[in-house]
Amino acid sequence: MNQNDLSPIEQFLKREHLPMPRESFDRSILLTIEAMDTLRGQKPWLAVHRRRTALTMTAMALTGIVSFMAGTYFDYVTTSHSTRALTEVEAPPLDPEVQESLSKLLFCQSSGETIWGTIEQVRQMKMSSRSDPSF
Amino acid sequence: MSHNAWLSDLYLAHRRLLLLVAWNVTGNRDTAEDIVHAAVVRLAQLPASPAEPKSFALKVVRNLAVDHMRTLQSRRETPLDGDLNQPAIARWDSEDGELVEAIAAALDSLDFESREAVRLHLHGELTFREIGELVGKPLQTVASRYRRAIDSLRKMMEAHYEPE
Repeated sequence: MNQNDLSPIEQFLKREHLPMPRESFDRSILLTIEAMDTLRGQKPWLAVHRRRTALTMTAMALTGIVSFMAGTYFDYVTTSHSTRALTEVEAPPLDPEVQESLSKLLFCQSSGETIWGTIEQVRQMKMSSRSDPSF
Repeated sequence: MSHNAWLSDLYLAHRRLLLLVAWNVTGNRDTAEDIVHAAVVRLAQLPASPAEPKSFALKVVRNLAVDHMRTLQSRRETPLDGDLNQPAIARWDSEDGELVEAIAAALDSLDFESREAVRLHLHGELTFREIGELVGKPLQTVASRYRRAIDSLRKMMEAHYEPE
């Protein structure tokens, strides 16, 4: 649209500034796309949803008792995370590496800090979950 | 090659527009972000890139946003973030204070369809044809809504600007 083609009122209205999406939001979107790509062809055991105050992870139990148990755990963490820091969650004992990966994947908007894990951490977390008898 | 590379490219190219479409319906930035995120999850599950990725993605975003607002209304919940029939007051953060307030108030006084036409054409830089495809209305209808909206806004904003 050529600015010169606009009437004065249209040019005036166009001055209402609509800023670009926040950088943290861009990252959450791109990570989601990457995660979905990585998990393509597998059962979508993990869905990443962004909600008003935090990026939360909801594990969906689709196949097998292990996935189901993991899903229950992740739902639990997701619920708890909105009000307490992950380290304060009274969760079942976890492999420290799994907990670390999980904590890095959670997006804490309320603290103003964005923490992201890598897709490789997601993979590792998934494999750890499968082999962890506590699940 | 990444299967969803097309989606990353699409998002980076049109992220502002995607958010604008959702925000125009919901009137709330956080909710708009939720809607865009949900849309991206759906798009990432497609077996292949759609024929027209941009228009397809915009439709997914808008449909999800409208569904969200209808769900709120059907539950008779107090809409925290806007209402299709009662324009939201919410707006982007801005440093332009009074001027933006005046513009936003004028836009909010329009009906939803007119406001959508103005925002998507002026701020989203979509053509009337593209808007028509998005909202499922003929090009002429969209153009007519836009012109009527501009006429209304001109009257409301005369006190705030000096025509050249």
